[in-house]
Amino acid sequence: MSETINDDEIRVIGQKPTMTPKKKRTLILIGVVLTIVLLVVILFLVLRQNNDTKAIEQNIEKQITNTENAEESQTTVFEADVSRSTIDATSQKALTVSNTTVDGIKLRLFIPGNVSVELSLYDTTLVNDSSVVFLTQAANVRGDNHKIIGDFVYKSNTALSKGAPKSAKGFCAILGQTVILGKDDTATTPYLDSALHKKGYFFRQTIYVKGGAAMTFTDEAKSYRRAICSLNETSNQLLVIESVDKVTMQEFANALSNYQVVNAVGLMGSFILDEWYREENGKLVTLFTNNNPPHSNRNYLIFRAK
Amino acid sequence: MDEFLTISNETKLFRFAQSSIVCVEADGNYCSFTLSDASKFGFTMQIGMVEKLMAYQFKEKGVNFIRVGRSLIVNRNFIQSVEPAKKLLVMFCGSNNTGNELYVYKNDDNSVLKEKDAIKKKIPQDYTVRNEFRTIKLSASTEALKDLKEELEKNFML
Repeated sequence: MSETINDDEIRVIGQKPTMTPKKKRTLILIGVVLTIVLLVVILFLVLRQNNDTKAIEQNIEKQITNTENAEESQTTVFEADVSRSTIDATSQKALTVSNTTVDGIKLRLFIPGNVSVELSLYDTTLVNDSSVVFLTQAANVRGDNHKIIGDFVYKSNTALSKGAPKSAKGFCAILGQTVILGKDDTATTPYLDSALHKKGYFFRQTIYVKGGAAMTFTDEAKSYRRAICSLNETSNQLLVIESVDKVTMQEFANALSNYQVVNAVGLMGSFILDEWYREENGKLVTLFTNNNPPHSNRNYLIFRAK
Repeated sequence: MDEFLTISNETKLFRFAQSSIVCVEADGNYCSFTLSDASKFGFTMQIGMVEKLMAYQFKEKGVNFIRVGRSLIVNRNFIQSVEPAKKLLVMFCGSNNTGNELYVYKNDDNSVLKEKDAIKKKIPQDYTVRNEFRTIKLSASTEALKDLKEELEKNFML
């Protein structure tokens, strides 16, 4: 039995302590007040979280805008010569492979979805890496000394290879999720500097299409041709296109141009190279295999699923 | 057999039949028992101790007694009326039509003539026999009396 009692309370003697009506009323009142306070606190926290999320999103958008503005300010001179493609991270499918025919030229299209685009040096483990959904060779390598032709940046502040040869006036710069394709035959392009500064990727290759117009080629040799392309200016879709049959460089360039490609930078051609892709069910489809002795400068463009 | 409440201190011991206790009023370290025959007994004992003794000695039969605030214990069987708004609690306290004793009231101040005198002697002219209950008026807080009213209603309201 409780020792104390107030003047406004009663207690039945000999009865187990029960809640008095007044205490009941008080507890109900406290319960209601606590519930209201709890709801207010929850509402406050939810609203604050929403505001925080919005602030973070706005901050990220601001940072992206600042980055893009900074890049654009660096490349004003070259803007007409480049196309900028961003990978569609909302796509569920990592890679779509399809075929089409343009002007009688059969083309195989490798359209990346939710992937990251990277360069890689010779690596035998890539074929077993299930995240890699597409691989093809990127920059050309000299047969005699295995040196990469033209500037080549691979996740470093220093270029693995340097130079802007006549045969490789096009370039491909990969800066995060942005892939920049263009033509710049000067020794120091801002995109090369950006790739070095950001430890991105950069390589030089033949330019097939610039600003929607096919380049002019005199070489009549036919081979399997490949290029990394940005599609029309509205979608900026990035894709890799290769000829199913052997074609001349001019035929390939014309086909790309007629396929509404804005900029197209070549990838290593011929059939002596490594190229494969992985189907959605994980099955590896090998298109070509490079049986030449491997070396450390053999380099690849790869799409890696996120 | 009726239950008894035994109160003991250094000088005396009393036993009160449970059914005879109308109320216990506190006054500091003292308490006063009012019995059904309107007699009063005072003890040097805090009312909290009386409550404990009742709970201990009456066990579950102690439920007839209700502690009302800090200064009062009442027997629910003797409650005549509860008026929270007036802070008034009226208890029955003896009657002249129950038991063997006759109560004779003096007309001017309601004082009671001793029963023996009333029976042995002729009733004086300024005294009359009234066939009605006697009551005592107690005071408690409005809130406590509201709770008491609700407690009593539990048993009596349909």
